[in-house]
Amino acid sequence: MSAIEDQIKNEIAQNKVLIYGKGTKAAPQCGFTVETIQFFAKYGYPFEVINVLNDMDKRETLNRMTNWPTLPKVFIDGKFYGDTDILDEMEAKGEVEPLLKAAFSE
Amino acid sequence: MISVPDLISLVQEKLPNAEVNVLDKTGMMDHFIIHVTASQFETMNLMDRHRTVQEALNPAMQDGRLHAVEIKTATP
Repeated sequence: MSAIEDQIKNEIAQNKVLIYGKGTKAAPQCGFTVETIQFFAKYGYPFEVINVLNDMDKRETLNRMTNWPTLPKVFIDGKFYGDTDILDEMEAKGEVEPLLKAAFSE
Repeated sequence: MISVPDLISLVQEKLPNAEVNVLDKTGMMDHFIIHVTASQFETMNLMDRHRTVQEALNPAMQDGRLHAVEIKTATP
């Protein structure tokens, strides 16, 4: 399983904003993945979507790594932030913009 | 398919006397928005609050009664 974990860790390290979801950025397959793409699109920072719809091993590894049962899964600057349920509540408290600014400021 | 009272009791099993408001998003009784207000949340960060609600709903997610849920959390 650690090969998949290493792959995931690399993907997280290479993308400041990363969404593991169902489908791709161009062809999302799930309403929540669409919602998450729209969430980040409005901030204008670059983000990546990695499709794990049919990759059960990777999905189970992600579930274990994050202790979070569902997709999409969002990572910002290497840290896990759940999905738009979490991000919407953070946004309501004005916590997302500074987080993204910091992620892209280095 | 799961009834709203069943959903509420699932959450309250994990979070006694939490206030639970449920909105059936699609009318198919399998995609809900669930607002949970609980005093227990005061000592939990945002991720743990959501994880607690997910754990409470897990039985219904596992057996397919519940397909998708949007969780909102708050303290009283």
